[in-house]
Amino acid sequence: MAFRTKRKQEQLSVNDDTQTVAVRPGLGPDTAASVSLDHVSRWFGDIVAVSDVSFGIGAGVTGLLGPNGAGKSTVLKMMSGLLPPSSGEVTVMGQPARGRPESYRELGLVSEQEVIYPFLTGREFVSLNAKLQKLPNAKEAVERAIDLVDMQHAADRKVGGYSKGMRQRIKIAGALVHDPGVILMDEPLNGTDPVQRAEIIRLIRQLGREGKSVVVSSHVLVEVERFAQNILVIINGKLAAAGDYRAIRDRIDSHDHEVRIRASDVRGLAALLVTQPMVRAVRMDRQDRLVVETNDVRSFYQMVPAAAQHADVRLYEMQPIDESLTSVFSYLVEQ
Amino acid sequence: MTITLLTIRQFLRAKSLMVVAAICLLPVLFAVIPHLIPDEFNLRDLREMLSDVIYLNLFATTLLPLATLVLATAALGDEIDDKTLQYIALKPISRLRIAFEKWFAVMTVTLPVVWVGIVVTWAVISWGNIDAMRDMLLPMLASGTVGVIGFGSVFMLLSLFVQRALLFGVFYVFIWESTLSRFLPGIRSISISHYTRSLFIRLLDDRRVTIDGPSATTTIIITIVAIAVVSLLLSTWRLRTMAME
Repeated sequence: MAFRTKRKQEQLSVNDDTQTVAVRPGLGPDTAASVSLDHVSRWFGDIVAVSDVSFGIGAGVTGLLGPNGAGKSTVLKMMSGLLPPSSGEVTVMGQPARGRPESYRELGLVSEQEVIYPFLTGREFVSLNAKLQKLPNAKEAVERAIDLVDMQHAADRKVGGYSKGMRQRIKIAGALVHDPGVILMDEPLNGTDPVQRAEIIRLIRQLGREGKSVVVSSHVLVEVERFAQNILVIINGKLAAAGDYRAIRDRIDSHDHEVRIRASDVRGLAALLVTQPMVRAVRMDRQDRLVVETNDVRSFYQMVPAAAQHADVRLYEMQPIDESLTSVFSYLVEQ
Repeated sequence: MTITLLTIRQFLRAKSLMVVAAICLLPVLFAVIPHLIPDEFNLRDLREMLSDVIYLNLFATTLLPLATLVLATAALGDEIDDKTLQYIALKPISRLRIAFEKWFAVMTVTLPVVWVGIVVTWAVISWGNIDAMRDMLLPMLASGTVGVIGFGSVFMLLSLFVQRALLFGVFYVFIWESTLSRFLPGIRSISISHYTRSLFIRLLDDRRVTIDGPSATTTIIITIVAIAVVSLLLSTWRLRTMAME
């Protein structure tokens, strides 16, 4: 089982049962690792969530890619020290990830966890994070973090009344308030609308440009391309591939994808989409959402917003279907 | 005390605080009885009703541990269940401080509610005989405080090990504290309610009010302090080693 691309062979690392990894996966030859996993496994009872994974994370944005249930969240929790590995070692800035609370001055986690103290306002939640970080200029840091995620307008509202996208953004503000060097984000784009998504992607890229080590997990292949140069592909708890995104993009694109779309006028949108060359089939599911099969997912994602605008249709959600993703990832590994 | 303040806010908006208040005010129903049939109760009967029936056999053994259980298991247990504990755990603060601040929040909210329950119960039953009943108030408040410290420490620790700590705690209170510890002498010394009841007896110093084998005041204080310290240290250890999924 191996992923190979002749064109970018030197930029890729491959993890399989028979091949030795030449370059530390996830890192270039001259890059220092901010976060490092060394033969890490994690199991819950009889279930192996992560199996013998080794890679390093350097400065810049790294995408942690894989279908739901692949082990991405478990990897991030081990990186943040919330979970101990069953075997192997996880280090952050050269020190063990667990058992050193002082290391959290340099680390911020945006977890997939949805619940935030509902009785706090957004500003109070970010302020709570600042106080627990013992920041000397907490007030300034709080305002800066809220500005970063563009939440000033809702900062004095209770978090319990926030939409999912607003909760995501205020969680990001809480994780960034102390300006950490290592930032872990677990599916930060979940539940966000296209505008919020664009804002968060812009922020992720900005953090990467500032030299921070940012790890962003996602099961949305095309989105990862927008913020991460390096990617790690996790499938069934194993590191299936690691390296430059461009090296695997073509392989991903050439496989059929299914995308689910929620919009204000799905029938009108469907009529437009069926005429597009990259669309192979369009159907509606039981919840009146469009399910579109495409053989060129990148062009498809670029085309849909423009088509929707043209038809005066409002897009609410555009998500790849998990079963489709699993098949894409399996295909990727088989190559 | 950021974590303490956060936890107090959590408690104040939760329905569980109403449950705690209801439990602590339940003895008032019993305290009303002598006023409904005044001919049946002289002063001595009133004192016996308050000390034996209400405080020693109902409040100290059952209601006080139940009231403490509700908030002590919620302090960390609820945050583990809804996974908000990671917002605190992923900060550069020691696990001892997290455990202590959570414990302190439990004490800060539970103690006033327990004190109010005791004072109201005492005031209702003593109505018309305040001076003759005055000596019972302080022993109830002091021993109630000791009970909250002991039970609060143990139940908070329990919530770090047991997923359904509230249910487990209810069984513990009814089977161990309310039943076995009162009737099996060997178990007495490993029951917190025994020390609560003993302190009440020692401070009241009324030969007509007693329990089997009350512990000495020094023993009570040392034991309760030891329970609180050991529970806090074990909670700290548990917070360091547990997986937060």
